[in-house]
Amino acid sequence: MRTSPRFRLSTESDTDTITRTVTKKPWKVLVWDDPVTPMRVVEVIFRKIFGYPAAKCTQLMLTVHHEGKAVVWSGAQDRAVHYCTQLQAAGLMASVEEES
Amino acid sequence: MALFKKKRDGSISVHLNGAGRTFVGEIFNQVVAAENDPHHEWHLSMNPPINPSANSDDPLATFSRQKEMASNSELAQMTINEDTLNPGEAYAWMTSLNLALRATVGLHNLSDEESLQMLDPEVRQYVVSIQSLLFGLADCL
Repeated sequence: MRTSPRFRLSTESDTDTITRTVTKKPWKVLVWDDPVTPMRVVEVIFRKIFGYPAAKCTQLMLTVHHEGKAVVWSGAQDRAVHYCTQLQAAGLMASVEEES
Repeated sequence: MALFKKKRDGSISVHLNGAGRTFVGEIFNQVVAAENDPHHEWHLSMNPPINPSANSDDPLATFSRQKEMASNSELAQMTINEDTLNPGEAYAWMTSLNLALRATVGLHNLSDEESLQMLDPEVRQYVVSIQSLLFGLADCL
């Protein structure tokens, strides 16, 4: 049988090769409730930093208020850290953690 | 009369009297001082861990936060005597005041509404005054 020069038949060593895809886990940005920051301020900060629509900012703010914390963003680690520093610089209690 | 008022062109007029501006200006000065002085009583509260599960935070991330805080509080300081603020300046005022509030909360271990009620009246008045300013600014942004 002829084999095209650009292709070759599978060999035993090929079948032994394991291809691994490394998927990085996303990181989440958490905002924690505090007893003094006015709710409206939290909404404005979310809108300014993330550009979320007003309704989403309100919903996230209410989650923080009622549940004690909310995941406000999730994704690549460097971006999560960036957003967290922005939130902290605006006076909110924020942190990052890797998704489990 | 509201402390801040949004105008048709999007700018925000400031209606603070002399004592009000002195109060706010002193807060901005304290925020700038606390950023620069690791021994300042507000410094720790203003520099919480970014990733609490890590042994230490990435120095670049902490530098980025300090730069952002400095940029806002210095802009707030520069505009303390202005009658009108643009939205960026008003946001700088709001975040600097909120940092002062955060630092006060940290200093007095305020974890809930009840602990706020237990505060020394002078400190409570300080907190309430900052909150009033924050309400006013947030309504304009």
